[in-house]
Amino acid sequence: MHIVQLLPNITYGDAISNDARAIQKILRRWDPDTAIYAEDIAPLAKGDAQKAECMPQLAPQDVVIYHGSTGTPLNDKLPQMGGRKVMIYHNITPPAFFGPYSPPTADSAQRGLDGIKRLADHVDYCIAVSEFNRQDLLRMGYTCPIDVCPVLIPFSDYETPPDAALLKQYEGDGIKTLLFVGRVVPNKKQEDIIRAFYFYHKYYEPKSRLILVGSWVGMDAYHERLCAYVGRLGLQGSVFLAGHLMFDAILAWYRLADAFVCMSEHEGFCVPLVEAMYFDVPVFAYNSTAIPDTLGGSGVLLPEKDPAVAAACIDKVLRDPALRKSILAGQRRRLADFSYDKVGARMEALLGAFLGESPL
Amino acid sequence: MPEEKSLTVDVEQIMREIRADIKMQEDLKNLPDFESIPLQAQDALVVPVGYLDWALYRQSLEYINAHYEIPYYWTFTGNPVKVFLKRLIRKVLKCMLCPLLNLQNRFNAHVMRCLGQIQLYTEDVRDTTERLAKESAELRRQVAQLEEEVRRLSGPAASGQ
Repeated sequence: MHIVQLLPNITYGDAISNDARAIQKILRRWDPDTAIYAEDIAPLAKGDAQKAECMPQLAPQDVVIYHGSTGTPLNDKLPQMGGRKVMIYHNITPPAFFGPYSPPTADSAQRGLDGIKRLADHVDYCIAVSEFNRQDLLRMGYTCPIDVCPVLIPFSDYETPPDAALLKQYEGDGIKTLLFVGRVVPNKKQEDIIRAFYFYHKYYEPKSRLILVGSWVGMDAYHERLCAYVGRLGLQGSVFLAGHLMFDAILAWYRLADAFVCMSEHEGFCVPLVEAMYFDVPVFAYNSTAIPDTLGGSGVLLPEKDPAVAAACIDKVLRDPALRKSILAGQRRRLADFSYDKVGARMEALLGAFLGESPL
Repeated sequence: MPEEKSLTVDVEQIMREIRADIKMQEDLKNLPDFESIPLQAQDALVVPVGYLDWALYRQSLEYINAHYEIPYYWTFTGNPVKVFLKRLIRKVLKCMLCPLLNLQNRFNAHVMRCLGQIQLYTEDVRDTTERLAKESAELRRQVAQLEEEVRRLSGPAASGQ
């Protein structure tokens, strides 16, 4: 039996690519020659995958595990491929978020959603990375078995030494650091984080800064609007859109952060929330989509998009050591649910159960 | 050791306090909307996620081809005094900036040439790939037909045993 993974693009540092690499280690139990195929392979990921057009024709007993995450011709090619089909669904951002900023990206997202809908009758089994994603698939008319298994996060990577120069520059400078890590895209609502920071900076802690880490490639218009908004609110010098950073610099910011703030309105899982938990940074997140699933009752879940309330919650936790300790304890308990061994074992059990049904 | 009591943030209570804070409510009401910031014209190269957009690719190449050379001289408009000062500064800095600009323009020209060659190559590869994909699909169809034929021919022989 041959098992392959197929994804639209593979690179370094993104959750889906990391997930595929981690799953590959599990798949070797059944197929030592398992391979990853991708439409686009980033230069840094060249040795990890082969081009999708090189994928061999699969026999009926073979399995293709497809990572559904974006608009791609693969959504239409998958039904023609041989073998049994498993889809790991990471979710696709609704196109409405992109409309004002990037019509081509909105089109791509719409194509992605339409493509995933068309796959409903062609996939034998789905693994959704969150309950929210599972419900999404049910809404799209999927009737095959769907199980939930979180993203496999390689926590050992976070033990890499952080950027020492960055730490030296900012550690112990007495300035409270609010952090968000995630691509600069409209669904992540960085403008709402800036609004919350405005109130925090003005009413609670003037000695504070907001760091927004994430690439804005393809979203230049949104990025420019955010920069203009920072200026309009008079927060230049306190809000920094850091762009895409090297991994050690991201680790440094997690270690420097006093609070992790997320106001996203669409997430399929949100790995940075788990990263913040790992680095013992209190999490403040708006209650939307998969965020409550990922937090699992830990952190501080904000029921409304009120920047003043968010600011007050942040200040309350940062000023009360006992409260902060309790929040972090809850986060550590939740973090244990995402341990590599635990999630790996679940993924192995789910795939094993599916493969066990395959006629050999 | 006694279990530590789990403390949580009473968000509802904080919401009530904030709503009662008149100054903060005023500030919230007057806070500029993000949507009030005008969107700039989309000039930048937009990279669609996971899908190559050939039309966008060619459009951007055309733009680069038309604009790769950056001129040192352009017309100043506005207040005559400011225009005079700008021209004077430009003249003074010419000896430093022009050589840099020439180097940049030469670099841009080479990049443009490279991109043009890459465009020709990728379109050639794309055409070849499409042709091979069609041929492969046709071959698969023929194989399926032949398999069906074999099954049909084997069928009566097996049942006759």
